[in-house]
Amino acid sequence: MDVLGHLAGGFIAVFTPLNLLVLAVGLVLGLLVAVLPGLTLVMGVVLALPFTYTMDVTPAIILLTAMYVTGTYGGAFTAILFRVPGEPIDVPLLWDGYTMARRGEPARALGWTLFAALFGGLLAAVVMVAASEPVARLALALSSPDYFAIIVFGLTSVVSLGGGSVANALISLCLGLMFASVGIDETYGAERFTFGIPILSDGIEYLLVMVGAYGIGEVYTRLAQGYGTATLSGVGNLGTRLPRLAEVLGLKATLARSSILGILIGIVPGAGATIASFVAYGAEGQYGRRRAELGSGIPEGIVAPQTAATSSVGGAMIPLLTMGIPGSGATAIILGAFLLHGVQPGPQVFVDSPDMVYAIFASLFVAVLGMCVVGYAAIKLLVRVLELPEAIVSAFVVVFCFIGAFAARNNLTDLYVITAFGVLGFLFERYRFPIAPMVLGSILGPLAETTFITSMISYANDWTVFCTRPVAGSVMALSLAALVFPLLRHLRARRRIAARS
Amino acid sequence: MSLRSRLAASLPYLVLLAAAIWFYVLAGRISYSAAEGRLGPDAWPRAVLALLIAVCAYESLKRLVFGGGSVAGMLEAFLERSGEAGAGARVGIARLGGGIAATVAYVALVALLGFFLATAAFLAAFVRIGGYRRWGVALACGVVGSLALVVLFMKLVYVSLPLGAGPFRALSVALIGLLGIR
Repeated sequence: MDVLGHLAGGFIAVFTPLNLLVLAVGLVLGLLVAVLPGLTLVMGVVLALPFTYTMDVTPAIILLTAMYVTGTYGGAFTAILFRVPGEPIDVPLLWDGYTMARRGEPARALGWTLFAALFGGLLAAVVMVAASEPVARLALALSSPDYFAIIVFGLTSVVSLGGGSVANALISLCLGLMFASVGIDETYGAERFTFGIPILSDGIEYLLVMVGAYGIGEVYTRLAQGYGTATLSGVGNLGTRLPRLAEVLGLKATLARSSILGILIGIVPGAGATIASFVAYGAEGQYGRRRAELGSGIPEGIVAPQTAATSSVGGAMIPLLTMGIPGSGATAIILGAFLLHGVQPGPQVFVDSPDMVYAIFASLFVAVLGMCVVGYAAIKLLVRVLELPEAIVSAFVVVFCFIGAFAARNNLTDLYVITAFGVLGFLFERYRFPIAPMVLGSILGPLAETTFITSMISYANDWTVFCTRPVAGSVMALSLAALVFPLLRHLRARRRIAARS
Repeated sequence: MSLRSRLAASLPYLVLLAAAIWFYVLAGRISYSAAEGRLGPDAWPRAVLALLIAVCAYESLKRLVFGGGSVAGMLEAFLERSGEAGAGARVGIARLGGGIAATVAYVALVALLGFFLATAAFLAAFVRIGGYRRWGVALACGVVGSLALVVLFMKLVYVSLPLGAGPFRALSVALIGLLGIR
């Protein structure tokens, strides 16, 4: 009852004019970013950061969360209609969504996408509300070795689940952790890797790492590859045809399976909407009633990835709000926004600021509903944005990144730093080093170090404490499994190839 | 795979390895005073650097001896299977160099020219470097875009942006006065 009471308060907070306005802006911007060429979901959230500096923390997070959830849906339009996946999340939609559209049923494909996003998003929001308080209560009882182990799990899972090779992801993570260690050490006040340069004494802000590597780096990558402008045809008679109840009931197993997978994958730190989308499609191919027809343009092939992608948002918000550990690239940036506003997400916010937490929860429900309404009503207008020349969009992205970096500290030197991280981001993309571990490392590095040092002080430098305490030991075992899993999969694949040949 | 290409494949890891070792040595020189038996501020970076050294040594050795063949992360494996992993795309070095140069010039000039002028020039230049051929549109994009950003951030979002120096500052002040920004 307490939860429902808080949630009702959250809805009242969301329906105040300012919060409702930022939510509407977030929905439209999120859909535009998802449709626009060269912009990704994570980049979109990064670009919205400067708008949040002067806001209170609640509308700031509502704006970013609305952009995050709509980012998992908007790319479906261009993937289904024009075979242009905005980002990897939308790749599975090409196989059945685009095929269905090419068969002459684009409105039906879009209708299934809308329904899947609505169902997955709302179910995940319900799970998020129900699970967060119990998880936060559990988190309150954690000791520093347990906390350190959970952070290590977050960092290792982003290594094993992400893009690039595991070795490259580990290197990216170590670099992120090292960037976080530059500056004056908090415990001893000692200077680390500052080389006598004053700006380095303040440390390298995680904001600069993420804005530079994600924002500017992506612009450089696209610039190096050459921009294009899409030419759209057949937009005039676009529409969305929602599925009938009987059709929906026929897909109840797919909807249930994909939602659960999406929420669970969202909860795992490091895994995000993209992994959820692929895994759900893979599960449909393995266990679906019509698995043999998958890829031929059937609704199951649209519903599975879209439901999982949108439901992963609710899942990813659980570790973020209850433990301060981001479950995806976008939640890493939302964590950054919390920190910029002086709020450390974790179990304590449920005690100190339940109004804020439940307003964010309520906003996710409203965002999912609003996203579907906007998507349904404004699809023709939204896909027209695809015609904007990418060169113009990218130029503005760079300026937005600069404003975001400059406005945080009013320091022009930070602009050189993000340019350097932009070049690093480009090199990472070029040589297939994933960016997410570096960003997560730079955000979680200080927390990891603090919990590590506190554990060592509390347990007289006994390293085994991370393995012998029940929670820490179990989570460390999970971390090890996360690292070994890709190796085992690699060996199995090699054995299979050897057996075939 | 020839020895030369193996060397090329392992070069980035060797460079990183050398840098990590250098930083490991530097970490040992951090000066601090701590109680007996307590870990110092060098402990955490050294642990991270030890991991970095181990990974770089392993990866460079593996690439030198066996060539490629990395263990892919889950997302990478999915993308490889779907044929959407964007490796090996051609790189337009001139375009990229122009883009980076324009960005650095923008950063260098924004303190002198102020946000409005520097941004207008940067937007127009970047749009051209990005391959958009119509000069008029690029210039209009720069001026109108920069003006819109000034209004959006200085008037609506209350973000303070650089005004420039000398005559450029006077120009910026006049402009924001015209726009009704205090």
